[in-house]
Amino acid sequence: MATGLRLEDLTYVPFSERPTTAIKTGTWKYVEPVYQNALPPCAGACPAGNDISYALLLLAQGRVMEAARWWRQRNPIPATLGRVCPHPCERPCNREALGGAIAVHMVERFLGDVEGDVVPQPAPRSGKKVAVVGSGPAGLAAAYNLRLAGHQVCVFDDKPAPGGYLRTGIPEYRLPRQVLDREVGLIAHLGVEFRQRVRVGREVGFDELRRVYDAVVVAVGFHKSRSLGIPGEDHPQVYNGVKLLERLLAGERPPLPSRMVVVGGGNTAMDVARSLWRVGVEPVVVYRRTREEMPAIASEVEEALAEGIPFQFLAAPVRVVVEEGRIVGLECQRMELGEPDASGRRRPVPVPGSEFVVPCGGVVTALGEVVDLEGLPGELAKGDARQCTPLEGVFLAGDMLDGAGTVTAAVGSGIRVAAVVHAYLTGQGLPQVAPAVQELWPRPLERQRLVEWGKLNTVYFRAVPRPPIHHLPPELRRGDFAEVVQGWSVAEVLGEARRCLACGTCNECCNCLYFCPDVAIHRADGGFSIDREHCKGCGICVQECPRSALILREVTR
Amino acid sequence: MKTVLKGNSAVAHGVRLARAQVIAAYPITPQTSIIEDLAAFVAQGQLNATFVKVESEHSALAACIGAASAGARVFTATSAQGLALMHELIHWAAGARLPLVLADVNRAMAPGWSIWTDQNDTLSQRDTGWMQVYCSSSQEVLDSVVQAYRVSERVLLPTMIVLDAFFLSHTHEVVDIPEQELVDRFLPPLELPLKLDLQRPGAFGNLVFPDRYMEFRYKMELAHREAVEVWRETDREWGRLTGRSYGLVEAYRMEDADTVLLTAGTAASTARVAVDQLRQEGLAAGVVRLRVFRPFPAAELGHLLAGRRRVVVVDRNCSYGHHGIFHQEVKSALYSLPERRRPQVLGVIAGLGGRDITVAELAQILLKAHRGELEPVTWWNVLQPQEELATAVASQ
Repeated sequence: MATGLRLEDLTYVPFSERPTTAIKTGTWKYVEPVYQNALPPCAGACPAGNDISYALLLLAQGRVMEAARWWRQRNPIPATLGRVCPHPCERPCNREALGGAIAVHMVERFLGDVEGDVVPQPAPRSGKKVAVVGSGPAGLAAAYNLRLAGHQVCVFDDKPAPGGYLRTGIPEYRLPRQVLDREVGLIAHLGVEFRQRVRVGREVGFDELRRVYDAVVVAVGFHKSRSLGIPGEDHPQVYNGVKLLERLLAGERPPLPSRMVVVGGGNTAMDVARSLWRVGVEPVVVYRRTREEMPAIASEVEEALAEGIPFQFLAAPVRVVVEEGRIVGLECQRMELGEPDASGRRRPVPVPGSEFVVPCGGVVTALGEVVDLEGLPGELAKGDARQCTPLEGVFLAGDMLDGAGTVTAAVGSGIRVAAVVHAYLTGQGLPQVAPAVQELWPRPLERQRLVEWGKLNTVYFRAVPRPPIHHLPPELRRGDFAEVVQGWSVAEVLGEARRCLACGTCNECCNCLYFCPDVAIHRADGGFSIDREHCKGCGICVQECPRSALILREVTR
Repeated sequence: MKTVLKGNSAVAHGVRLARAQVIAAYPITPQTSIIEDLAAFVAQGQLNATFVKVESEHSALAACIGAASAGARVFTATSAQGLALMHELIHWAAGARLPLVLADVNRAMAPGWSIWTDQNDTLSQRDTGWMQVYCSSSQEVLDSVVQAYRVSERVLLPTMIVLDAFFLSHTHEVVDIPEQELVDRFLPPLELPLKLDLQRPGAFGNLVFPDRYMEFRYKMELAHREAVEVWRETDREWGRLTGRSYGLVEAYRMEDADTVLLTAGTAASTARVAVDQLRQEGLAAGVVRLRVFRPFPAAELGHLLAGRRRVVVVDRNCSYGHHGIFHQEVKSALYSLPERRRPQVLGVIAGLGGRDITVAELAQILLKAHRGELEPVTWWNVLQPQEELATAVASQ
């Protein structure tokens, strides 16, 4: 017993005014929490690699300009993508079960439309020069990211204005021209040079480009249409859909038959049919499978139906019926669905003796496009996983590389190729594969850890319904190309941002700090720090994190 | 105000009158209606308290300990497995010297599952440092809750108010509910000498080395010794204010009794009727009801039982491998009497798992004891092994 101590000197209960920090409870642990942002399902599904959850987190805090800038860190055309992307990000959204998936496309569109200082500063000039062939979404994304990396970039394109298929193939009711013009303008303002009406292989030689530039990115997309392969298809009233659309979108109004059949089930078919309908033609869509198998964006099909455009499903053209030199119809054969083919869709099989004629004065083909390498080296037909070609210093991006077929995938491809070209130009050596778009984010995160529903602590979330998205009524759409989908107000967008669960993305809700029984979590540098001398690895912070932004890691001594 | 209340409601009224500030509890039969009543009091504004809903009894007591450490007057209630789940914190509450009051409705421990009464749940907590009061009427339940806060807050020890499942918890009796003003005079607001205080940051329950630990435990023991007198004084004061007092032990027809039945809880009321009957037959029988079990009222028991011929302790509990718990406690307490004043102490284990203990049975037990026919320890009214087996057991 302690000498000189009297019983009266002791309090009745063990009490110490010295802090318990002297006891290093941290030595007890065999696991410890680590803050680790992980991949939300939305970003995992975004072909352009938009850092959706972080931008929404900024928006939820009302930091609109920062969110707009964040979205443009890699992506040069969010205002465009917000309008034309089929938003695969929304399909796996964890919010789905709690009021509906976040309308990411509406948020992207809003952020893309934010005016002001939204484009990042380019890095100091590297002294390297890059030529980009093609000014479609892949070319624009490659040019933007290479310019941001400090390189001098020149874009070559054979059309009068930049944008590629965005300009020639996407109607204004989906993508108003001033939106595209502004985004192209922002890229040009960065210092990217656009040389229009220059077709590489004709006005300028491909070898010359390679000689003058340190690297060449080819992103010419798919422009050559497949043909029907049926009798009568060389009739002048049988139109190539891509070419007809380009003329219509350029403002031309050629005399057209009053009733036309559009053959195909992809986005071009929808764009052609809906554009024809707007200029006064009565289109009929003929597709050999059913609505289920249509490759077109589902909402585009819905809009076409809302506009009253008739569809003939399970019908395949067999002959253009011409009488006295004029087309009077398209003879089709009824199909039925058989076994699945290589694309996983059920193969259409003709029903013998089921021929019928769809009356019309003209036919438009929209059967898909392929790359057109006329005037370009044949080596460009094959790119590898690094987006390189067999030609030194020549790289590929967009549809001609992967045929992914969406604007968003083309943007992602352009972002990736820029990273590869940058590595090439700066002598870092080429990667084994082009980096995933999410790897290029300017914030750290564990890409391998996908935060699915089961990883969330959903106790902390309440169902909140997704706000409605307003469309121009179909009766007001005929006769012009006014935008169909109406944008959201700031209030609607901020509300939607607050609905975001921020899966795998720390939003400083402080649950970890509140629940830590050892008071071992502290605020630090706008985030949190863990006092490892006292954290005993109980894991409560990990359990109570609503969004899986913390993990437990084994401690090795 | 006189009204009719079941035992559980009497607990709730006691807590209301004591102006408990924090209540954290988890439901368990047969306790649940206590906290239901309290939740209603809080919801209706009759009690200005924070009612904390928790996910287990362990959490309930943890919440109470936290609130009490901050200086709040707190209450919780439980039964059987719930009390067992609290066990770790039962020790903590006493060691931290927090004046909590907990009502336990005695319920037999599982397995097999039982919702009916016996005392093993609370007696398993005997050595934790809590005070324990075994009640026998709704009125006593209410009065004891109020008394417990006063004693607990004086000596800084927690108290368990114990009542039999159903026989008391769910049986309605006339209860006189005292005026709030009277209770307020009896029970001033709690002022803990040491509590969580933002102005004086400190750590409670910190590491204590071997050179001090024993002193803290000795202080707890000294508090229990002091509590004996505080209970007497508190009970007397309550008697002065309300006309009702109970003592630490309650004696019935003990003036000339030579055969004494000693028990706790509602069985004691039954015993009084049995004794009345035996008295008519000329048997000098009496009843001692053990009310305050911790601190142990050794002086009262010695005073009441010295010189009696025999004491039969009826235990609604068992310390397996030994005797009924009250039996062994009473025996040990009386051993210090001079040999000629020392009564014979016999033990009967009865009524486990809520089995009825009737007037006739208690009369029979006393009669057998009187005739010298009662074994030193008897398991009453229980199926016995068959004859061959009994022989085998006896020959061992």
